[in-house]
Amino acid sequence: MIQEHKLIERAQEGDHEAFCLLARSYQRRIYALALHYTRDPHEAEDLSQEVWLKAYRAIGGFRGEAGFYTWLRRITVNTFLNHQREMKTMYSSGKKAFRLGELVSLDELGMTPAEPRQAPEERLQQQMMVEKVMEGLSELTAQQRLIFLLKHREGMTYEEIAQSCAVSTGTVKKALFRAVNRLREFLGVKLSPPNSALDEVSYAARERR
Amino acid sequence: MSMHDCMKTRERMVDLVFDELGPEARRLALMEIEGCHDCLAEYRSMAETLRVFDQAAETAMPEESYWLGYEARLRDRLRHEPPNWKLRLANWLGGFRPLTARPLQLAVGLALVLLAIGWWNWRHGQAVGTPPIANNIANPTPAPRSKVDLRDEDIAKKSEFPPPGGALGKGKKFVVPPSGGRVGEPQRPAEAGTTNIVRREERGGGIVENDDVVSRVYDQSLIAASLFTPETIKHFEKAQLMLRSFRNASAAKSPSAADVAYEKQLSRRLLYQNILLRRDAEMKGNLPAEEALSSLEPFLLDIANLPDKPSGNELGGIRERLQRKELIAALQISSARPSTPTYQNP
Repeated sequence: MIQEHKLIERAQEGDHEAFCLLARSYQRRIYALALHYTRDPHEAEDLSQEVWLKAYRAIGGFRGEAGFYTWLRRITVNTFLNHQREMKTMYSSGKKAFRLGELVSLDELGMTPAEPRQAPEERLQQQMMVEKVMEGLSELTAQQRLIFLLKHREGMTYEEIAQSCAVSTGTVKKALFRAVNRLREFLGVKLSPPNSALDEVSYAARERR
Repeated sequence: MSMHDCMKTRERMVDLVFDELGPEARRLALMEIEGCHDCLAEYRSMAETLRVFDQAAETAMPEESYWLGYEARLRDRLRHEPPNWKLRLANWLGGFRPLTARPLQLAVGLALVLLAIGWWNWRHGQAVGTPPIANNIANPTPAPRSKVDLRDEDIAKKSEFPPPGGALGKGKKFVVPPSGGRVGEPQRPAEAGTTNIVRREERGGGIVENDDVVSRVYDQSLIAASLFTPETIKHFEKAQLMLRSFRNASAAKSPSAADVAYEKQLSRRLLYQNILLRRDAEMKGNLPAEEALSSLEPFLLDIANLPDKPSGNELGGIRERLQRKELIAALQISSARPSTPTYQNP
């Protein structure tokens, strides 16, 4: 397997193929972020590919002072923030919800959810859960959504997020609290008392490690 | 041990869920949560929410076959993407990577080169002199005094130039090598027909340092030769002679005695030649020559268009302007040909 820095060097010399190989390593992460941010698979593809194009244009300036993914993530966040501004201009109001119909259309695009061998009922149930998650995310502002994704999916620190999004760490904390509450509300997670305590409590931390 | 405060604990719950606490703070927070039924329920539900979210996120991700199409579409977009500027610059420079690999250094280098060119141009501009006439007057040629050229002496005095054959140094001989000159005409170093020996002298106790003047004159001659074509220099010579002649003729006391018919005729010929030379200089971008010719042209035009019997005012007007602009002296310098000055021991 070709090392990442070799691919970067080749991409800096204008080698499309090397850049595509680089993109292959991270395209799922970038796409997942874009999907949860936009809540639309088509838009997610456009936005994630825009990230790659921007990265391609800027790769000449990549000096390797930070990791490639850190550098790429900075481009991603900036692209998302720009997208957010554009969307604000285009639609001054109105929130977009992820519809089940769009999930169905994923089949046509070959974007059927993972584990296609699942029973239809189970698959439908999962699709409904995705729909709820997307609805929950649509209840958040674009900034709150981005902050939540950067924290939960990317594991960035409060400070890193605050710096990236040009907000205070207090805003970051508030956005996370609100995001979790909204999602809990939409996913219908109940406040049930546990039978056993700490073995399940540290789930989130364990997951990230 | 401090009392448990549910509100405070819940404020810190986000930090706990998103793993923002250090190991010790985390242990303490978990201990506190475990001790409170409500807080534990809250924490568990938050953790569960994130778990469900992760599950849904996995489900929403497209299957493997989608990524082939995704990559193909990306490749297609990249194909339409122009190469970045560094790459274009590298290609333009024939693939010389080291230059483009250090854009800052390249920019600094270019800036230095531009500065050097600018400085050279500035120096060159100063040496050549714009406007040329003004500069020429500042460093006039050491023209020997002639009977018809007394007025030029004033100009020479103004520019701190010793009167020809006048205030010179201590008996040293300044030898200007021979060049073509005319009898009865003021001799320029460039066209002196015979060896022109100028003796340095003391006058009124003041010693005039002539070496510097000589070198300046020599520089001026060189500059003139480098700027003007031989044809232009010859033209300047003719114009200078004509203007001197005009000045002397127009200086006659009675207007009736001022016969400038010959100067008029000569001026017409010179005017035609002047226009041609000016256009040529303009075409070649020779700004000093163009400016010198442009400053001469109005005088040629005015003299050429004088009536058959010009009034004293008309002649006086042109003469006055000639003096004011110090054109004759400027032409004298412009038409000087370079010659190597040599020194002879006394």
